[in-house]
Amino acid sequence: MARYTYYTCRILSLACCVAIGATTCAGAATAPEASPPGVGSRLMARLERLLSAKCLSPDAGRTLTELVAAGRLQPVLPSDFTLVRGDIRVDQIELEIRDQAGHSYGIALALAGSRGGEPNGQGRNFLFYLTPSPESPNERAAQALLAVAALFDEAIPDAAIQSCSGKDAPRGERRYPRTLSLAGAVVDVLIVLAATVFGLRAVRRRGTFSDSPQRTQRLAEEGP
Amino acid sequence: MRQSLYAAALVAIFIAALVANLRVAGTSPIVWVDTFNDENEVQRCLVHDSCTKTGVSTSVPGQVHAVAWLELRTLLAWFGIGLDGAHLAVQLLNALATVLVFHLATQLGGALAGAASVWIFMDRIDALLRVTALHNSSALLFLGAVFVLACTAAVERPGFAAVALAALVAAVMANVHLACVLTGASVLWVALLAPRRRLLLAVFGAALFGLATVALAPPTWLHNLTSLLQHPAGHPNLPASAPNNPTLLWSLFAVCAWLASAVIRAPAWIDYRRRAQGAMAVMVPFLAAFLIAPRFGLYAEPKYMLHLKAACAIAAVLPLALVVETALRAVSRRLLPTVESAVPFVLAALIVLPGSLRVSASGFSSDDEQTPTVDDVTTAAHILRGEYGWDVAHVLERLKTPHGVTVLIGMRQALEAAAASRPEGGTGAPPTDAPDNAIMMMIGAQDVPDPVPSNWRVVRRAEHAATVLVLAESPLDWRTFGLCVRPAHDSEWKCTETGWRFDAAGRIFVPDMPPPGLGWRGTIRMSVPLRPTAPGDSAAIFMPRRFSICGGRIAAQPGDAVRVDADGRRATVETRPDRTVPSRITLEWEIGSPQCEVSAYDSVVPFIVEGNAESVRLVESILRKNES
Repeated sequence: MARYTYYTCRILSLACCVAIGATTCAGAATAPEASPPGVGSRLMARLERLLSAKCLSPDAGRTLTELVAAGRLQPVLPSDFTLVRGDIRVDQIELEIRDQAGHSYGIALALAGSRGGEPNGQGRNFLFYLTPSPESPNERAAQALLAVAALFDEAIPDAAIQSCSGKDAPRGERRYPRTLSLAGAVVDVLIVLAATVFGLRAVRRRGTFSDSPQRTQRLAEEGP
Repeated sequence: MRQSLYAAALVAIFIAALVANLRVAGTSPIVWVDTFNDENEVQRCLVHDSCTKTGVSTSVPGQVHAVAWLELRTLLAWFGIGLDGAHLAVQLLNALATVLVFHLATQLGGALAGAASVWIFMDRIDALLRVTALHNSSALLFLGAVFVLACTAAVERPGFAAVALAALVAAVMANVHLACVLTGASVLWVALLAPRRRLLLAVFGAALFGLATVALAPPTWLHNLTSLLQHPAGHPNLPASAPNNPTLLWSLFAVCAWLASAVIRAPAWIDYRRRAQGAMAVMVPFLAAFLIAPRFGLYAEPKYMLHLKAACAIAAVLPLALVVETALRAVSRRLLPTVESAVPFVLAALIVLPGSLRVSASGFSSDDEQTPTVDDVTTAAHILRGEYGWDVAHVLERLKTPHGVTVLIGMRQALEAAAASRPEGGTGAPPTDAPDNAIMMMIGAQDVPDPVPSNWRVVRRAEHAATVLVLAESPLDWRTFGLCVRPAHDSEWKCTETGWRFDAAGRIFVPDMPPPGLGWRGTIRMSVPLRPTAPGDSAAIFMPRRFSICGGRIAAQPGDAVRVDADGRRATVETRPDRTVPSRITLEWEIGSPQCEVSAYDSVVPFIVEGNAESVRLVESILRKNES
């Protein structure tokens, strides 16, 4: 009984949170330690993540542009590296630096809950994921990227992080976990398989060759 | 005995169709931008756990394809099946589709109908689809065959189960290709043919189709609906074409025969009209829309008819088979069974024999393809990475190819996949004696020099064409270069320093280059630094001109060490103590001119040949020979 009461309360609180388009649902995304285990709690966590997902607004991009233009990267980015790219996506920011030999190194700043896997670092709002660069691993590059990521994380105001489901949610493409994609493919395959098997069983009309029993009977019925 | 003979016929047709498909489509798909865009999404989904539900853009502005194809590719990749494996899977499914078409037509109209339907089904597939490429349309031949089977089942055994399965297959197809959204009308058609509760079945079928279509990818359909509401009149700027292809002609014949048979009251013809209903339901709604679309300014390409091929083949042969069967029975009642037993095996033999059945136009086979395959690009990537330590940045700046930016995108994916699977394979820094320039191109098999020069690598040699990698020293340094842009009818140049870039979304670009597409015309000028070379060295630059290549010219240079030919297509750089070598060389392209059609420009540095003079001369002679 307590478990159902718990779920009901969680759903109601999430619904209210989403309905007012609030940016204050962050706590809802984190399942409490006391949450009951099992399939129900996992589904609940999924639903919470879905409803309380956060997106970046265009303000995030403007903040980063101003930061770079003001030269605030120089203290944290060694002079032999250059920032060559900064892509603001709906729920993450991708940065890329290059060394003087032309080797590239990347990092993604992902909003909590938007990406799985073990992060290489964490800031106020973002988790930091270094892009593997097995061709030319460089510890200095990794440290520089983490420092730049921390700087950006600090600089981006909370107002630039909004609820995706609110009426003022920023436009952009949301990304989904691979489980959902694989499940979609399995459903497609099962549909096609079921339709083929059913179709082959349903369409047995005339037999195969003209002297097969079904067709002989049918041709006799049809006459010359 | 008869059943085993029939099973043998099915196996024979499957093997023959598979052999024919592989002969035409090859075992590795060609480099194709849609293929690599899909692959990029697949890898983002699997590696970064970041999958799209919005899909990829279509050729209709504002509309997107849903994600069923991407998800199926992701599932294959999850099982470790890459691009070549997916291409092979498509060929297997197409062979299976051929067997389905044969079986269904045989059940509906006898073995003669089965054999004839296979002939129409396999005839000129390449008129509708670039069979050597791998993209979402590649799955439609098979799905179209399953759909006509499902619709026929709904006609033969009407009920909720049959209508539900037809609606669900239609939903899957609509999520593979946007054009298949019209399959919903086919579901309605077969539901309305039910002898009882037809309205209920029709409502159920339509509702299930709508729900399932949207449920498979809600963001896609929300996006498409929004776009449609914003542009309800379509996009009249797109050219309308008058399509003319065998599938269209056979479809029109099938519809005319079906309508004309209405005047015949014989039981066999009444039965034929009923038997053909499944195929007609698949074909007619789409055909009507296809024929009307150009009147509304929508671009109706023949490729959109691909999923109709199975329905068209079956609907067209049923009346023909009825006539032939009647004629054979009139001659001799024993003749028909003999002919029916033999004809599937004769058909299988005809399919296997090259050129006897027009699986493709003019006996085209994958060996005639003039675009490199994914396998070619992967092999070249392994050579450049494994032997010379090139990474993605090196490839972008130093690999030249007449096949456009698509090869570079494929090369990048191959290098990243190789780096992920064997991190120790790349050194990160090229060896000092490594060539700093490479050309990857396909040439005629007869053009490959004999003996092959030491700086040439033959990546693949087919009967008529070969993919080669030519390694050389480059006189140009492409790390950063000056770019000046002047739009047509404008006198002002806009100049900047730029270079090659790539991003996580799979894009490769040169910032500040004018956009690709049909909109931009004007002149681009690049000022590229010349590398210092040892005294006595002689390098050359050649500007090729060929269809699909954006041809440019070399501007006259200061300094007497650079000699530019009068037509501006060739320059030689000779480093000698008594000559002045300029620090840069200027190259120029006029987008929209006869030498550089707008369609050949893809917003990156166009293809040029550069290297030591000897090497350039050989490549130049081959390219000039084929310019006409």
